[in-house]
Order: sequence, then structure tokens, then C-alpha cells
Amino acid sequence: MHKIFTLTICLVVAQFLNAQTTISGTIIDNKKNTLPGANVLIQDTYDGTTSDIDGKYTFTTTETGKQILVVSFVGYGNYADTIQLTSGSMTIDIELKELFNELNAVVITAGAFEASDEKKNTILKPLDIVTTAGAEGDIYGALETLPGASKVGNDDGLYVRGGSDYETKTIIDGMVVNNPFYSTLPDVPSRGRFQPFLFKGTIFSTGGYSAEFGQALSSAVILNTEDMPEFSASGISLAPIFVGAFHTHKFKNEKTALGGGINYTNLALFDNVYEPSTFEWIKSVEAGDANLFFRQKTSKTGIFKVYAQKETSNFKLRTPDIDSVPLTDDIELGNNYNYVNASYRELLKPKWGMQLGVSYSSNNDNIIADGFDISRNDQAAQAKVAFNNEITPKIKLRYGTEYQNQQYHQQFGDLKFDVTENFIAGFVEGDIFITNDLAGRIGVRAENSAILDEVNLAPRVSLAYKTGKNSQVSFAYGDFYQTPQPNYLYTTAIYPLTYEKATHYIGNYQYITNDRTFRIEGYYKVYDNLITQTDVVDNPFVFEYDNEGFGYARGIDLFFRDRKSIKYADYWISYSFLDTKRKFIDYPESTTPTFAAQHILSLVYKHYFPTINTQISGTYRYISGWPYYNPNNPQFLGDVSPQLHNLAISASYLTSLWGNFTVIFLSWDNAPGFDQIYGYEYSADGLTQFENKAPIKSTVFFGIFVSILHGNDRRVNDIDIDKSEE
Amino acid sequence: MKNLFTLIGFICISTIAIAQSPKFNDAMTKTLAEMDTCTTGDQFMAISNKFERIALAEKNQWLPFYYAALSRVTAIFIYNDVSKNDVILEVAEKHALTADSLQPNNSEIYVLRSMIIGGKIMVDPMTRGQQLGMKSMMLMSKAMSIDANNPRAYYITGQSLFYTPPQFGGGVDKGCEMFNTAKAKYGIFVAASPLHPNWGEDQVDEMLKQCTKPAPPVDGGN
Repeated sequence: MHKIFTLTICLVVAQFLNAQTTISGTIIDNKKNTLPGANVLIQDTYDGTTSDIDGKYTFTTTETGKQILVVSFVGYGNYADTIQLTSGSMTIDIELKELFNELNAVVITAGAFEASDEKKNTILKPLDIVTTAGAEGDIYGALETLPGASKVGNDDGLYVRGGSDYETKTIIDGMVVNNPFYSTLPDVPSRGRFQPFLFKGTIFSTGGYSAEFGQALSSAVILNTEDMPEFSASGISLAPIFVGAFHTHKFKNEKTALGGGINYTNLALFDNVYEPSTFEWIKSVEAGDANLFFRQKTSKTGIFKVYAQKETSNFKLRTPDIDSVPLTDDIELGNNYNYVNASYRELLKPKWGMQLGVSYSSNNDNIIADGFDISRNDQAAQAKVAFNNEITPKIKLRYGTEYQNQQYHQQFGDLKFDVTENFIAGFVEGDIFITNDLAGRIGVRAENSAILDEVNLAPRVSLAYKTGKNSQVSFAYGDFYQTPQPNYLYTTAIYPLTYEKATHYIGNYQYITNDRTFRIEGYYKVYDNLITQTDVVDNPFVFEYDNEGFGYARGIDLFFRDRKSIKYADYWISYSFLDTKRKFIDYPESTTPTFAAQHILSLVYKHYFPTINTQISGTYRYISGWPYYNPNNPQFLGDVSPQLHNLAISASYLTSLWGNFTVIFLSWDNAPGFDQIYGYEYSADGLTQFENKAPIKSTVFFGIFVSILHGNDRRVNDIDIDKSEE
Repeated sequence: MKNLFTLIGFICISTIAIAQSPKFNDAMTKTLAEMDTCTTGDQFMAISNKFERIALAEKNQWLPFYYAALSRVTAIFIYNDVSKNDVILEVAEKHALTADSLQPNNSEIYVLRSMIIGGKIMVDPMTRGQQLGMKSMMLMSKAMSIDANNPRAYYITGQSLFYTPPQFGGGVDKGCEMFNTAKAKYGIFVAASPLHPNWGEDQVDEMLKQCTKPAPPVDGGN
């Protein structure tokens, strides 16, 4: 009784004191847009409301005196202000400040196509690479469907925007990879050595890239390996010419993972079905590789990663002798390749990250051509350290240094050539967000090559401006230097050389929504100091090298991707227009080089049929033709190869085998059987013409992949679900 | 006289402090009742804000944080516009984790967290599915291991099985089996208080009706 009395007194007193106040107003952002859905409240009370569709709010409170009015809304800074509540009504209009948020902010994109799982709005994702018809699971095969990039004929390597293949560098976890393609001989197509699923993301830069990377005049393929696997898994791949298996084990502590795989390829069965038209197999391609990886979480933010790969392959073939037709040449190739990459990443302080890396690779090619021994041995070691420093959320600095030791050894019969290169580079680059809509990246890279005995300094600048919610324009400028290829470096003692140089100017507009991407990019590239080669009188085997070459490449790249308009379908269209001329190596004049096609069009279409659990994919490619050398034409490289069409089709059937996720796939390259003529070659006297073409016009390939997850058998209670990761 | 005022003052303060509990109960009961009447995404977002206001005033109570997050998860399913999911779920996740820190090892909160991850997967199932799917599953297993009789764990698991194609480990049959289990668990479930989570039974009944119908349209990976 006594308690109730007290309570009543208190409540009455409170009621008496708490006359009602009505607070209302409008909530807007710093661009004067009204904000619906904001939470408006009096701190430490239940009183408040949500702003309506026009950003208006109104509520009553019985609180009095000094109170704190709080407004919160995702993506905006909290508003809090002390107000004096007096009975009656008050109007308080509030302006919220948009927080700087990288997800909404403008992105520096000129020149780069990004493919990763992590970021939204990326253009190609890792899964896209393996489901693109015609790419045959090869990273470079998929990149070829993007504008500006192309493979040329049977050559290995990726040619970007009028650049030669050596102008494209592959970078894994920040470090350059030498020989990223399988060793091959002319006329035998090759592919990349690294499997797409090793990587969580790919950045394909067709120019104007970061000061962190150098030694590539045209393009960088930047691959980042997976961090910690989410769970233990195994897989088996089976095809008539291929067997492979892998296992990944994630330890119970959730901090350690170890995995490895082995693959064996033997094309003998394939070669029995498809006889190449340009040569004859004496021994089919046989290749074996093994890989190993290790991951260790060293702390909540640190990870140590190792990846190693070892490969061996060999084949032997017989080709017609171009200068004396009835004769043939036997050529044999044996290759051994080793690659190791170790990296460590840690957050030293909340705003200060560090990356350390070392890598080593060796590549050994032994060629026996018509009884003549040729061997080539490259070794490369690299060490790198880089730091990220977030000075403010709007200013981010990245800087670092790298060292490379490269050794090239070549032997022709008894003739030996050796080159050792010691290379040091440093870079510093700042990302500056002037506003949410305007960002700049300014960087500089310095390099010193011991063999050239020269320092270069390469500035890089990018700007990006957001023109709308989904659209932006970007510009990039940069200088790019590259040490001449090893085969020109053997004679630097006699003919001193300097860096080859390219300057890029790029402008780009893009419009990206969740399901559609449109982008148009124009570029102008100026080449300077390209290697030139002149004959030395009386010695047909020795040349004099200089840096007297030059050239330009300009063009327009278009890209459109749509995952929305057609249900269950995803397609993209790429078109490149290229105008380029250069004088380099033995070109007598400046002309369009043999690897430059004026028009390239790619159409990729993928359609998923849920009722039959099958994805059908098709890739059509058109190439307007490449110049080739015809000794009978007085104009150097005056002939252009025929227009090229290719249509590849593939189907993947998703099913379950003994409870394991299984994919059965079938691919049919050049299904309509279009002629695949890349140009013509001539005998020395110019009288005999040979077609330079795909050795096999059209191929069918099928296989099965079974993936076994080891998640269900683990005891759930032992799993420590790390909240910070979500 | 002065002492008397001081005494009355103290009594008032302590009484109000005790009286906060009925105030909290009252506000929660009202807001929960209001939540039951919500039909649009905007209404659920506004209810989420209301729970958030209670949560911010009562920083030691996990239930308002739980419901603030749950309303947001419900809102994304009603909006059915995946471009909104990430922004809405960012806040939901924050509230769910706060609830978890206030009330560790609670089966209901694990179910909620699993649902939030599920909503994130919807944004891009092809690429997010593999990693986040496992995480969502792990959170749900944990929810079941804490309380094997939490009907919502079975209902939500049933939902994801129902809409997952058989070759990815789901299927209508598996989903319906799980709904039946959930139904049985609802039968014996008793909420700790009227404010504690006690939702989902009606939805299970709805789903079970679909189970008796011929096969529903299959939703593919795209």
C-alpha cells in the first residue's frame, strides 16, 4: 500500500513536470536531398520516430529540460544536439553529412578490368573464367574476351592494345612471374600455367596502371591468390587426356591450411582423333605437374602464404621444311618449370599494413631441332616489401621497394650466352579522395637496371569523377619503362641499350549497375626507344642492336555486359578498334605490326537452364586480320590475313555423384568449322606459300569434375565463428 | 524537513528505477504488437527504428537489438530488391552482434545471424554462395546445437533447403521434411516470456500447404 502510494506520488509529480513537447522537422543531406527512414530520437528515452518519405518527422515527448536529440541513418554521420524542451511545439530541421564510404565513392578505373569476389560491380569474376566457352579454363583465354586483348595466331602470350606479347606481364601476389605460359614451339598453341581457381581476384589492366608495377609497356595481369580456404575439400578431374586430383585440408584451429594437387596430361588419345594439318606428331604432348600450398593465420589480421608448383612436359613433332618442301624437320621440346611464391601480410597498426614477398622461378627448355641442340635456362628471384598507410580516410599512401635477380642462359650447340640482371625499383603512390565524387591517384616509380646501368623515373596519374549514381569518367596518364628482352641483352657490352618506353593517355566513361555494365575507353599510346636490329656486314648470324624504334597505338574499346534482360542469361560484348604503327626490330619502316588487328569483336553468351541443370555457353569471335610478310609485295607487311571467325560452344551439366557436387562438361571449339588461317609464310625464294593456321580446325573435348566437401563431419561446437570476419 | 525531501527524492528515484522494467515491458509489448501488423518493407524498417530506440535507451537488454535486426531481415524479404540488402543488413548485423554480446550462446541469435548471412548471399548467389553458404550453415548448426528444440532453426533451414536445387544439397522434399520437424518443435515450444522470440509457426503452416501441392517452380542459380 505504502509503495503504491509513493509510486503514485512520484508519477503524478513526474506527469506534472512532464508537459508534452512536439518536435518536428525535415531531414536532408548535404546535397539537400530529403532522407526518408532516418531514426530520430531523444537520447536514453524511447521517444522518437522515423522520417517519412519526404524526410519529414514529428513526434511528441514527455521529457523536459535539456535533452539530446539524435538522428541516425546508414551511410551518414550521426547527428546529436542538445535541445531545451519546453512544452509546446518545436521545429528542428536537420542536415546529415554523408560519410565517406569506399563502396559509394568513385573508383579509379581507367585502364583496369577487375575480376574478384570481394568487390561489387566487378566486370568478370573467377567463375566467369571457367564458364566462358572457348577459354578452356585458361585465364588468358577468358581475358581475350575483354576489349583490347587478344591472342595472335598460334603464339603464346597476350597482346594488348597494339603492344607485343612481351609487353604484358603477369603478377602473382605482387610479384612478377616469368614464363607464365607453357613452353611451346611455333605452330603449337599454348595456354597459361596457372589454374583460375588459385586466385580470388584478377585485375586486368590494359594501360595506365599503378606505380607499384613496372617493366611492362602495355598491360599487367594482376592475380591475387586465395587466403584461407573456408573449409576442407577435395576434387577429382577426369577427361580422356587428363587426370587431376587435389585436396585442401583446413585444420581444426581454423588458422592453418595445407593443400596440394597433381595433374597428368597426355594428348595421345586426342592426337589419334585429330590429326594436325600443319605438322605431324612423333610424340604427343605429355605433361605432369604438382602443386602445394600452405596458409597460416599469424594473427587476426596477419596471414602467411606459400604456393609452389613444379611441372615437366615434352613432345616431338615433324614439320615440313619451308625451304625445301619434300624434306621435313624433327623438333623436340622438353621443359622443366619450378615456381615458388611466399608472402606475408600483416596490419602493423590499425591504419598501417605491410606486405612482404619472395618468389623464385626457373624455366628450362631443351630443344632438339633437326639434330641441333638448343637450350634455354631462365632463373628469376624476387623480393618485395610494400606498405599501406591510411593517413586519413580520404588519403591513402602506398609505397614499397623490390629487388629482382634474373639469370638467362642460352646455348646453341657449343655457343653459350649468359646474362645476369640485378634490378631494383621503388614506388610511392597516393590515393586522394577530394570529395566522395572526385578522386585522384598520383604516383611515381623509380627503377634501376644493372645491365642497362641506368635509372628511370616513371610518373603515373589517374583521376576519376563520379557523374551520377552509377556513372563516372576517368582519365589516366603514365610513363612505362621496360628493359629490352633478354635476347638483346647478350650484347650490351658492345651495343649499350636503354629502356624501351611507352606513354599512355586514357579516357574512360562507365555506367555500372548491379546487373549491367557499359564502358567505353579511348587511349593513345606513344612508344619510344624500341629495339631495332640491323645486319652486320658479312655475318648473317650477328646483329647490331639500338633503341631507335618508335611507334604509336590508339583506339577505342567498348564493353557491355548484361545479366538482367534475359532471365537465366548473362552475356557480354566487346569491341576493339585499333590503329597502330611502329618501327622496331628489323622493320625497315614504321608500319602496322604483325600482331595488330584493326577490329576485334567478341560475344559471350551464357544461359542456365534450371530444369535440366545445365549451363550452355557460346563465344563468338571476329578478327579483321593481321598483317603478314609477303616477299612478293614491295610494300613491307602490305598483306593482311583473311578475316577470322570462331564460334565455341560449351555445356556444363551440374549433378550429384555419390552425394558430391559434380560437373560434366563438353566443349566444342570452332563448331561451324570456319577456316582458321592466321596468315601465310613464304619460302626464302618467295615461291612457295604456306598457310599459317590452327593445327586442328575444330575440336571436341569433354570431362568430369567431382568436388567433395568435408564440412559436415566436423563438430560444430568446436568451430569458433570469428565475428570480425563477417 | 530537508531530510524528508531528500528521502522522498531517493524513494522516487529508486521507485522509478524499478518502474523502468514495466515501462520496458510495456514498450516492447506494444512494439511487438505493432510489428505483427506490419505489411510493407518501410513499415518493418520503421519498426526496426523503434526497437533501435528502445535498444539504445536500454543498453543491457538483448531483445530490442534482436528485434531491430529481425525487422530489418524481414524488410529485405518484403522489398525483394537485392540491391538494398547489403546496406540494410549491415545495420542488422551490428544489432545481432550486440545482442550476441549481451546474451552469448543464444540459439535465437544464431538463427538470426544465419538469416542475415542468407540475405547477403541473395545479392550474388553465384559468387557469395560458396563461402557465405557454409558460414550460414555453420551458424545454423550452432543454433541447433545450443537448443535442439528451437523450431525457428528448423523452419529457416527448411526454407533454404526448399529453394536450393537438389544437386546443391537442397530440394523440395528435404525442405518439406524440415518443415514437418519444425512443426513438431513448435508444438512443444514455450517462449521464456511474452517478449521472447516466438514467431514462424504460421509461416511453417503456409510452407507445409505448398508441400502438399504439386512441385513449385524451381529457382535456379541465376
